[in-house]
Amino acid sequence: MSVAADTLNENRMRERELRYFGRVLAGQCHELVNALNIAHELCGLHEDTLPRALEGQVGAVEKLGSLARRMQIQIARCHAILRVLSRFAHSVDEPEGTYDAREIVERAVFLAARQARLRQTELQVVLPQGGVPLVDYNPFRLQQAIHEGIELLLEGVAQGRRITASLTPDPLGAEVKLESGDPLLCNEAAVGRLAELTALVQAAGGEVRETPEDGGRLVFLIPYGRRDATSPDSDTVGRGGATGGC
Amino acid sequence: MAALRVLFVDDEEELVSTVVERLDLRGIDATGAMSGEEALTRIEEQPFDVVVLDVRMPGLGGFDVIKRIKQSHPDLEVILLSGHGAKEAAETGLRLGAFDYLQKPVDLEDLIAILHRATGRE
Repeated sequence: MSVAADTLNENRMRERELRYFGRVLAGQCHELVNALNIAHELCGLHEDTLPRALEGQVGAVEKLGSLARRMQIQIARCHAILRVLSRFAHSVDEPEGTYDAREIVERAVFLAARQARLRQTELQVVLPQGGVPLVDYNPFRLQQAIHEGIELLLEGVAQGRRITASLTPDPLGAEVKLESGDPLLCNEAAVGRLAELTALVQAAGGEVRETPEDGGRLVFLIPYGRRDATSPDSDTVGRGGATGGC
Repeated sequence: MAALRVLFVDDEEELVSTVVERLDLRGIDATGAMSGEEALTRIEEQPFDVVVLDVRMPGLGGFDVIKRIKQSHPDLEVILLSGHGAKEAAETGLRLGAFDYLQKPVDLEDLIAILHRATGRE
């Protein structure tokens, strides 16, 4: 590939990363605003209740205590969002290195939860007990790949269904599987996005190993592992690739 | 004068219960609904003077709900609520027949003033 083509691809990748970053940030801002709106109303109700407590009305003091605890829940919700968002923001600058895949998968699923909720879909994450180290990996791109995989599945999933993101150790690092009970949308845009997802995973050093349709179920298998792996199984990486799911 | 009957619709349950309680304390007969679908059911079950409706909800969003309300109950006033920076959403809502539009967080006294204006009880 020419230098110009490489630059073009790299620019496209950067634009896509920026769009992903913006989507995540906008979504989490909405989540923060929701929690702050609730806290705002709880403060208002606290203010409404205070005169009744000062008058000695039965139950008013207990009500103030209950409202304070409900406010704490919303504050804790904000902290949880900000903790994940901060890690996410730092992941942009993090160099390729060794990371625990569990943390990355958990974070990616957390950040996609709002989109799932708006589609009335439950997101579930299944993680192994022990650490799953990934060596020489770009955590930001792995998050992006998981998130975009979930987005792709969300387009085809029926209301009220569940998408499960599971992580299992693999001889080459880790395997991330995204499953829904429904097949991927089979239109031109979805096929194009699946191809883009495959390219993204490859850019991060992994492969979309297979995308089988098994009784109406779509499964992404995304192995991530050592690029310099010398395992006898290492030749399985690079085999297969996204088949389109249609 | 009979109490103002208000349906407050938002997918955040804690927000709905708190706002409903605050409106009740001010003599407004408020009912909550946690989705567009639930709001439409409530509207069929009992009469309301005004519906306060969040724009962005899972399932039926605020714009879908206002369209349906205006088809089945054209005289029922709707006030839309939304998050930050949603000027376009406000314009769309007003075009669909919303009486007014408020940005969250809403000052309850402002909301009550709009509820009164919407029902001619100023």
